[in-house]
Amino acid sequence: MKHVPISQVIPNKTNPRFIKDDKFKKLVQSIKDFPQMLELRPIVVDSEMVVLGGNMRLKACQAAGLTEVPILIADQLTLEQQQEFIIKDNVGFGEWDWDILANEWDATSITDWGLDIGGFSLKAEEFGEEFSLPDGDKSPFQQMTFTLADEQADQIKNAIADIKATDDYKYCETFANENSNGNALYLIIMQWAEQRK
Amino acid sequence: MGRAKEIVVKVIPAKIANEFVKKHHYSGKVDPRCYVHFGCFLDGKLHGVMQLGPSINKNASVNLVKDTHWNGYCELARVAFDDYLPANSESRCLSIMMKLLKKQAPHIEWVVSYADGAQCGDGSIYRASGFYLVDIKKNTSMWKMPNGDVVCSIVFNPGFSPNSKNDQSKKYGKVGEFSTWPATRFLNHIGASAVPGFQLKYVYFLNESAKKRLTVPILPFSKIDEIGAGMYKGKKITLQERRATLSEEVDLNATS
Repeated sequence: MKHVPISQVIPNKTNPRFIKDDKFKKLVQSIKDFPQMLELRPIVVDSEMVVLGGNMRLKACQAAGLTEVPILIADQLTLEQQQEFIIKDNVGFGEWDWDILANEWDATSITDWGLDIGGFSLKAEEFGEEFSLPDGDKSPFQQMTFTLADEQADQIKNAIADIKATDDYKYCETFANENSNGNALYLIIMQWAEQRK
Repeated sequence: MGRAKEIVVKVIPAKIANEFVKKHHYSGKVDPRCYVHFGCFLDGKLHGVMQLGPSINKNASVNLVKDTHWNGYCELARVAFDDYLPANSESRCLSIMMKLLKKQAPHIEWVVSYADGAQCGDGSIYRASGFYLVDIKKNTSMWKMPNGDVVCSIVFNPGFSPNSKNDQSKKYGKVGEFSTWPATRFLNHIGASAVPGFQLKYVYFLNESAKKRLTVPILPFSKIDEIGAGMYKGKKITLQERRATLSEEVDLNATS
């Protein structure tokens, strides 16, 4: 590993990785806060000084105002191996153990270091614990829906109109129901039931 | 319990809860019946949502516990958590929610919930949270449509009135002469099929005395394996196999 002026290191234009704005800002801040990280994980370049590993870090080092960066020259790799390295260097084979992260690590720090812990950014303090749910018993009234042919509907409407004109309707048991059609229909049914006896 | 005890549960607006459910519930769908929504917070972020609402078929479900008032129970319709919450968080959150329910809605005697053992799981969270298993039946409600979507059959019942923006029955052509067809007849007609698996019904008693009025027997959890209804995270697996895996993990941790 050696240190070279940052201007000598050439970004790899064919690198298939990119970084989003907010994550890039975090990477720049991370380099400013913890520059030793670069010594432990230098930028890997080929013999032409083109980046094989660390394209995003190079960009972030420039944004952080660094004039020199530590590099490792991988001039022993074939072209095929260089391409393999570019992909493998960026592949994450493992999975995060979220239980350990949540229990053993500080959420603010790991977020600042660039790990997305998910969740919606909302503060619990913004919300309360009060609510109310419907109380009381079921309404003693209900609606029923039927599908009728036009001819059937006309017959029913006529029957309802007819029975409403009778004295029986005036004395019909309503059970406190104020829906006149419902009361009329009930009376028709009761009369039908009476006839069947 | 670890850091699960640091979780805070608060009442949150439907809009936020539904957004979270769409992202993190296995179905990706919200339940428009829900009338109260709880958010589970840890480390300054919302990581879980639990939603309560009335049961779909109250005339039938109210009889699960004798002498229950019309509004004396509710359904836990959605439970969704992201990956971040530590172990035991779900039961911790449900426990806090039940305490809030006791305080704010003391007329609620019990809560019913259904585990979708055809697509998601057999209800391990409920079993760990003090719910009783009261029914296991073959799935007849979740149907796989010819285009691969999974839809609840109730939306195809004649007279079902969802909000007009999301009328699934119209989407699949249940209009005109088909509108009066029973759901199953229509679903079979269009080539849909019930998702193989089971639906498990669980009950939690906020009022312990209501348990005596339960009109069906409480089933032992071993019944799940007996029937072959075991499922965890969408994969068929028995409770026994899960316990064995867990023991292996514990053994590995002990020796590492």
